Amino acid sequence: MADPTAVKTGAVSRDERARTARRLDLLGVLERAVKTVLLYPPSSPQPGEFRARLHARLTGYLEQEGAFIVQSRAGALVSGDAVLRGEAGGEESLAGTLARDGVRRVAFLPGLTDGDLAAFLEAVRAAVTGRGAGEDLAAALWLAAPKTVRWETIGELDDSAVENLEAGLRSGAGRGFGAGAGADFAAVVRAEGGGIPAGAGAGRAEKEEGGAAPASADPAAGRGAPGEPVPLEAARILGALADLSGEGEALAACRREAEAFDPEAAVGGILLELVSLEDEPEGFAESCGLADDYYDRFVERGRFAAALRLRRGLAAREAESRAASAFDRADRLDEILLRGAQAQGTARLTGALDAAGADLEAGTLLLADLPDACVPGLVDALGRLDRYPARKLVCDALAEKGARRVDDLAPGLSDKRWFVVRNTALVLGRIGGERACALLETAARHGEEAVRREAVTALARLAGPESSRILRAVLADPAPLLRLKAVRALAERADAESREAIAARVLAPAFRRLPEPEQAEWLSALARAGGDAALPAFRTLVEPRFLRDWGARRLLALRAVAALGDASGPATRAWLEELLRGRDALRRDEAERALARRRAREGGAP
Amino acid sequence: MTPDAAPAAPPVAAELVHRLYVLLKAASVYGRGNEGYRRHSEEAREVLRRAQAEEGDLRIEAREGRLFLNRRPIRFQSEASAAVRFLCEEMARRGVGVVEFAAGCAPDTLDAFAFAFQATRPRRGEGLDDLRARLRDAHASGVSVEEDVPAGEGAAAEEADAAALARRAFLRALTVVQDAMKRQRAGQPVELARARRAVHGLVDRVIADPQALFELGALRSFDAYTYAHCVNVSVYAVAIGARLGLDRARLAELGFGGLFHDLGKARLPIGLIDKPDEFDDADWRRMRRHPALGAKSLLGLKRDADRVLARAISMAFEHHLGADGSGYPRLKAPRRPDLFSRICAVADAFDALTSGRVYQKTPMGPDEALRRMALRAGSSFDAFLLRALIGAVGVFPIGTVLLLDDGELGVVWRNDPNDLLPRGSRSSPTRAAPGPPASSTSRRPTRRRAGRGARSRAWWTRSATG
Repeated sequence: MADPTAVKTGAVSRDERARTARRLDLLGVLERAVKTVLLYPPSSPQPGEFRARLHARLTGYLEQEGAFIVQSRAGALVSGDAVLRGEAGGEESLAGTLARDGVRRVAFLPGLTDGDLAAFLEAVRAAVTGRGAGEDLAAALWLAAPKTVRWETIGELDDSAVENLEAGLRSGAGRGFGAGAGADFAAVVRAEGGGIPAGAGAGRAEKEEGGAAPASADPAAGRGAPGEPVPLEAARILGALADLSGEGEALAACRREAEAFDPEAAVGGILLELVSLEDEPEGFAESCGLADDYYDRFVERGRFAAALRLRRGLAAREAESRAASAFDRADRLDEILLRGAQAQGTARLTGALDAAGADLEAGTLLLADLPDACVPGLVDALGRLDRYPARKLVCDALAEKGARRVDDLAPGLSDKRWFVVRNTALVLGRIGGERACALLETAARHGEEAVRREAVTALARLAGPESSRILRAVLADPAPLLRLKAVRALAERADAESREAIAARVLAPAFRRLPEPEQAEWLSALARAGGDAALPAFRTLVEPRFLRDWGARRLLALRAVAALGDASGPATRAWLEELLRGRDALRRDEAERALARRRAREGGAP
Repeated sequence: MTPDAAPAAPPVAAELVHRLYVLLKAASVYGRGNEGYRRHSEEAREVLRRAQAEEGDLRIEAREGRLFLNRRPIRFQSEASAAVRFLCEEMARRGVGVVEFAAGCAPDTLDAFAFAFQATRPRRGEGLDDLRARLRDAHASGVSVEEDVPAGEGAAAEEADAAALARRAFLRALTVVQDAMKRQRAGQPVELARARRAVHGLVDRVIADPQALFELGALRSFDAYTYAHCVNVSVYAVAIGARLGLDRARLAELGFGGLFHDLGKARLPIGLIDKPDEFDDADWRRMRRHPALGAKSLLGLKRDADRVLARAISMAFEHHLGADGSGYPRLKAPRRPDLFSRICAVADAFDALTSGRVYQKTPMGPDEALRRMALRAGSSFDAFLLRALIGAVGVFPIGTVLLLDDGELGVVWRNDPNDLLPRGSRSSPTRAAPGPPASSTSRRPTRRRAGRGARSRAWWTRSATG
């Protein structure tokens, strides 16, 4: 027989090299499948395609070579001699996940099913994506329970540790509750050596369980002496009771109750109980701290309904405490409630509202529950929100709460970000009132057209001399659209100042350079705003004293005649009828049409 | 034979392991022609021959620090632990899980294996292929080696030795609880991932064979009472949950909550927990704070309260609330506790009543505890869940001492869920649990007048270790 030691370690046969190459290839396919699972959503076809490819390759290997064992070593994915380096050890790689979660090895067994492979990949995905929530691969694999994939975690107890622990429990060499290390558990196993003296009361345990000991309780019953005889009938009854085979409905109810558990509701409920039951100041402070912390967590995770329940519960307890003259407690609870409305609290809430898939319905209720002190925070949030639904929600809340604290919106108008100013202007427009109008003047003079537009839109909705004054100033805005918005709004108000302001603009030389549709709008506005009072301005336009630039003036005159169709009052009508008798055929036609429009508008009256 | 364990390998297996250990050591020191080596080789061959005569093919498997022969655990005397450790470690370093000697292999196969094994450089545990090559080159066809496949955890775990696995799961959970309480006292956060794994082990064992874990419930010490109590509550709770037909995820939640239901006690003064005297009212007031303290400790962990943690918080807070809302902590508006809290209450009470503890040195017999709990069904305890507990632990739970019809005492060491009248084991009344008695009997206890204070047509029971 040849001396086996003669074989050199480095001398690897061709078969072994081929096997190593196959393993390396499989590791690559496995790593790619994991990456695909992490990269694409479960609904995407890619993960399924990669999994099918991996399954086919693994099945081929397993049939020929037996189990395929994978482990993580120094950031690399390893199987036998095959070592896959590169990105394999990254934070979100299989190697990294195995190492982080203490999974020493994973073995894919012959007969590997596609379902088990999918379960394995899904467990990896859950472990990586749920990292922040404390998920790990070992737990995810355990829940997935694949039958043809095995895994092994880093052992916590070797044989000697088990022996020591067990011996400690049996022999009794401990150092006291809470003091011992794993290997030096105390032990006084009643048993070997005569047991424990009878007589020490069982009553305390009964008491601790929360109820009084039953009348038949015998404190001396126990290991030191024979207990109270148990009638056979009692044993039979117990035996019969233990048979749950006919209790299908009750069992199903238990399972339903187990599934129906709502973690946030449970935690919130316990927090409220803790806040209520703590009598000691330290305990109460700790409970309040926890409630405060959990409120933030609920909000941050978008659990608005849970946050709202907690908030309302705390508010109810605050009211109870105040009613009971426990002012310190009430103030502390009030502090929590107020904190949620301050800058950080509102930033957290609005940030969560802006997340994809946020529960906006519950978020609306939570926002509504915040005190008005949240207004500055909400104004600040306007600059951070990316999604329209969240912005709309916040604007709605501001419109409701800001009405009582209009001045708190002012910082929004001086914000450097134009979109914040715009949204604030929008909110102010919805709030209305003199103070809102005054604030909107700033926005109406903003350098950004979009902001001015929002301000003008807002002002157009707000009646009153203040908004009219600002709108009159807008008539000189460089943006035609804004000028038109303003002129239309002023036309509706029909006050003398607005009429004069429009007339002044219409009669200015620059007016003739405006495009035709805009001229028509202005003239129509003047007609509507002024009625008979605007007649002098129209006469000036239609009957020019100067012949310079005659062509343009003639066209403008025709437009003015047409616009009188929107006017009202006997003087303008009379003048139109006068024009009908004029020599200018074009003017006659325009006057005819204008009168027809007036008749139609006035219900066919002559 | 233990009632629940896989049958052990014959004694020759332990002898073979020892001889193999000596031979490998000798091969690392001596040459093949050395007199000393030859002597060890002869002795090893002799043992190999005997083993093959008994078993045929010999498949020696190393798994989780244990050795198996033909898939049966090899039982060792304690002095053999060096040999076991050496073989397990060296095989693992070479990536070898199984060594198989074919029946009727050549006498010098052992030598070939010993020198090839020693010559294989355990290069990062990848020496398996190297070892195979060396055996091939040595023409040692009678021996083969296989890769070290993980025994597995969860559904894919191999059922090797139920008792050993149960013991390991129990003790692992015990260390988790102990560590958690220590960390709690030191103001450090509890390691939840580790705890979850420990609970998964317990759930697997309860599903596979709860009786093996119930036996371990008798392992208690004065000082480690609270730790063992937490593990026992976890085990009983999971067993009740399993009787209710809950799925594994829910059972894991139950087990996790059971493990930490008394975490609040770690925030009470040690002097109170260890107090040898009766508690006065002030002591009770402090003790009754532990549910709230436990809930706060778990709430204070810097992680989201997912289902598992939220259940644990709920169980810690509510496990002393009665099914009818009685008990403590006193709530503003009494309400029915959550299902898992009610399960925990039943499990907690049963273990507390049957335990020797710091402040209650005389525990009740398990059957007596059940009987007393039954008297409070519907008020303190959920009657349906109590029935589930009885179904899980039996009318005469493990550890109950029975007076048999022939006048001898028997200890219940196992329950058949389908036959709740137990099979007793003949035993001295002072014989200790855990572990089965040396001899056993399967007679049923029969109704008879017996025992001190026995009543007519009654039979008495008491706990196992009195």
